[in-house]
Amino acid sequence: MSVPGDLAATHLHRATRLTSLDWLQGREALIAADLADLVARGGHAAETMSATGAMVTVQLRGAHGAWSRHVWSRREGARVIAEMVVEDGDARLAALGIDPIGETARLAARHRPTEPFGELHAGTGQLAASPHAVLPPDFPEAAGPLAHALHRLWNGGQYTDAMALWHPAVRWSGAGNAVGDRTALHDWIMRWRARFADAVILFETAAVGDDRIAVLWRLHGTTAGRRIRLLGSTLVTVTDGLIVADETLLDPVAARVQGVG
Amino acid sequence: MTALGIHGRDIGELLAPQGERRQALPGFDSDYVDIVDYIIRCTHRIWEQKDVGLIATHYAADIVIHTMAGPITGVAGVIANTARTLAAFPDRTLIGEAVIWSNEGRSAGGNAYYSSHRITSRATNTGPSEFGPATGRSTVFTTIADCVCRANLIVEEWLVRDNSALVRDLGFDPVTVACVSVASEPAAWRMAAMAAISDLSPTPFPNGALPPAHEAEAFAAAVLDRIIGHRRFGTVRAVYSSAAQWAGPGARRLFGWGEITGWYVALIATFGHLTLRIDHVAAIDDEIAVRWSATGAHDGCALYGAPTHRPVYLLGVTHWRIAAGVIVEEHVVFDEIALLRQIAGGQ
Repeated sequence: MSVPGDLAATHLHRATRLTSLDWLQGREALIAADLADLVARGGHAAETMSATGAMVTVQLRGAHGAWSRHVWSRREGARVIAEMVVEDGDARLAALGIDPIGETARLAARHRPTEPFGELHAGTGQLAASPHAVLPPDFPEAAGPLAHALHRLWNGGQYTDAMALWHPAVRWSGAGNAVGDRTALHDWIMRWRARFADAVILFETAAVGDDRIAVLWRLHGTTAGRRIRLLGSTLVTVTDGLIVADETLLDPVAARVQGVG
Repeated sequence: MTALGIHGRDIGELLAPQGERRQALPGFDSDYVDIVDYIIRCTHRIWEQKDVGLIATHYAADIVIHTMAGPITGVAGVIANTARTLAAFPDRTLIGEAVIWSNEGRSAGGNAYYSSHRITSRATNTGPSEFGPATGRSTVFTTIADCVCRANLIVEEWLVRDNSALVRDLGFDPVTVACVSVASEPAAWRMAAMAAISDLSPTPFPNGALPPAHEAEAFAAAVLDRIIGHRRFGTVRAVYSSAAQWAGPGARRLFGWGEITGWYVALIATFGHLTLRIDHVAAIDDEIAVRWSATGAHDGCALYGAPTHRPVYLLGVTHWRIAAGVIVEEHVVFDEIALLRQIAGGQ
């Protein structure tokens, strides 16, 4: 795994990085953030675990444990022009031994939200969620079934039908250090939906490789009168048409910060 | 031969010697090989290498720079303003995000090019600025400079800067910064600009198919006529990707149809009789630059507080990135500080 200064060779000077809380613009800003991240980890190097097209799974370690990060990249030529980074903020804080309450307050104090423009479910009025998600034009066809299933789960609340894509004994992990099987995944989504009752997930892009499919999505919702805007990333492994492994990342820390910030 | 552009090219590559000229540039300095090289390289020299005096050889003596706060005329004013900005933000770096250009054809002075240059600036405020005393804070803000360039000179410029993002980064309140001690009538230049837009005849109600995005001028005209001119906000779902990313004044970032539609609705809910005129369109590869101006009255409270019913003038530039025939990325810049000042009764 590269050190922060290596970004000069891999990223364009115009490179940006989007997380659920930050929008970094310019390679220098990315290098500075990576240096701070490396120091916070006590110098532990990040380890690339897998690459699925434009998405790389990275394992990071702190003094008290490890956490996972999904790094989505868009390139111009050989170099990265834009990154979207999704991680479980609670897992990160636990691994680094950082107090989540204090960190939430610190981040909330500097968070500058964009005011909530427009509706969450664009132009649908009273219509029920359609069976198929609205996908951007360049969305890989092979990722369509996963996106449609996630759409029916999150946007339609159709838990029984949509979950047929997951093997009952799927190895699932989700934000907030949650792990389990298909039932655990179901319960986890229900908890998030209960927390953000009007939430919608919107699909941004996807990556496909061998038996893996990754989808980058966004969760927009409202809590305590505030618009929540989170990046979400789902990486699944498919065997015989069923999802047998699922790593879903979403940042609960960002959700709390946006809820109070 | 044509300009290489900045796509996929790192700053080191862009600023290295470029070799043979790639484009007809009559009267331009010999080390500029195309219009994109001219824009990127002279910006680096003037701002980052601090060779501010080069403005004298890169701007016409009678240059007019149009801003939402009023025109700046004459090269001496450009040099003075540049020095003031550098004194306030000495480490300012200017990341060229896009140079969308068009060949404006031949004229008496030779080939004229039009360049719409979007810049992300990163800077630390270590000196007093037009907004207040030095704060020591860092800022990131977007500027778009639309320039007509001929024979090595920028002969006319339209400059829009996201000043509300800058002001907020410095820790100031935009409304406070924009306040005026005594309300007055709009200045003559603004009255004339607003009248020129108000006098436009309304367009027929648009019902037909939209032109394809590769017909940039027709596409831009149709999109803005439908959404702004005729308040057909649902058009957003036809012309934007469902995953479109939008960046706008005040460093606002929006995503997808719902939020982008919401922005347009808020704009019209703030200026109920807003009339928009497209002033220029340039397009290159998958990018479109639209310079526009608009006028209306502040008669709604969606964006800028309680209605004052004062007339406003907006000068804006919109950059679109197109993929698969739809807008996947939009950057729209106008000066909200100048707008708030107009709303407060400034000239």
